[in-house]
Amino acid sequence: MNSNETKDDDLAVVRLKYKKGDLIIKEGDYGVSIYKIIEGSVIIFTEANDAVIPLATIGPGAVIGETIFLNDKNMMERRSSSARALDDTLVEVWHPKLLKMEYEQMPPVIRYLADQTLTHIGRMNKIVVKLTDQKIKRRGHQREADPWATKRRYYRKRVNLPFLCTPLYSSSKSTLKGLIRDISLGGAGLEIRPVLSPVFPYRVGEEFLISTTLPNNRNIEFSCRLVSIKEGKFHDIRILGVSFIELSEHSAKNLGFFLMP
Amino acid sequence: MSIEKYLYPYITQEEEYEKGEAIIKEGSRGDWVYIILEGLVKIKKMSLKGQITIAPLTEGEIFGEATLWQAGQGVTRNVSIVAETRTRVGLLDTALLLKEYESISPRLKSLISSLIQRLTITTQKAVRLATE
Repeated sequence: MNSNETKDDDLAVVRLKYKKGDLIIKEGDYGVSIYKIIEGSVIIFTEANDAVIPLATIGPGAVIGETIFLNDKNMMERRSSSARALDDTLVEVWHPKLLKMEYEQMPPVIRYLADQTLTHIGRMNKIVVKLTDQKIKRRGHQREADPWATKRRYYRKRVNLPFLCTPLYSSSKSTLKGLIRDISLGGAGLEIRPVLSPVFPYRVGEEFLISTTLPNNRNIEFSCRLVSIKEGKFHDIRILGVSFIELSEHSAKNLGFFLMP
Repeated sequence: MSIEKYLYPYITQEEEYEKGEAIIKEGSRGDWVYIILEGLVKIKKMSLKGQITIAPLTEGEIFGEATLWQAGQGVTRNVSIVAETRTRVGLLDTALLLKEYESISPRLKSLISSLIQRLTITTQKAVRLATE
């Protein structure tokens, strides 16, 4: 982590550089700083029942550590989640006391709206933690009940279908285009050229929404999780393996029909 | 949850909704901000498995503010709000809210914009998890 001081408006701010993988905020630690992401991307996560639960992936413009505004009496409070740099990341550290003063001097109605949004984020984070916990337990039960389930493979068909991909949770608005090279009822192999979408957040574990048109002119859309990234035959090509999270009934029917031998 | 007295001057009109009526429809345009004066509503969102309920909101809570901060950017409502009981809501004066919003520092605007974005991302994640 490197730092350099710069002047910003009336408040002296510090800019910090974090390397990919660095922890910016640790859940449970006491902290008062508020950070604005200038470059790079950051994952916000919490830990519950020995599992890491991603809450959001955020990028430039987003603010981290803002929940201190909910604590009226004392800004020293434990961090409710962790933040880790997913890329080399530059953040601006805001002066917490002056910012808190500015926040409290906002017109009361605007402060009321902002406080409510903060409360709603906290509540939504709890829902995500609860649902993730349920999902982990459900998967555990499924494995116990059917140990072979994860080893099953679907019939995979070679194809050459242009697709459009958008991230499900990331704040990035970029899209990724490429070709689906093979597809089954469980997942797909995608061929992409990273140079065409340099800011697209494709990392193992990320979740995406992909749409494509099958050779029989039927459209399908599915949400999926990136499970592997491999080098292609040429240096600028990557092969992404994705596993479906969800196919709508309509898409599953179209894909099932297309995959019939 | 009681309603703060300083909010009343911002209420330009009141509306009543019967149980099951949609106050805001996901995908529609509009920049009204609402405060619940009486009753209970539920936040709902469309997923690949149909509309799911995300969370309830009760008296004193505000909804619809996300599009206000992004006024003029063609942003549509990202959730539906449906009355769970007979509900009375107050519509806040959008022009006055925007005027107040304009008076705050760029830093605070950036903070509020980030909060709205974070809420949207976390809501989408909750919806995905609920339908997996």
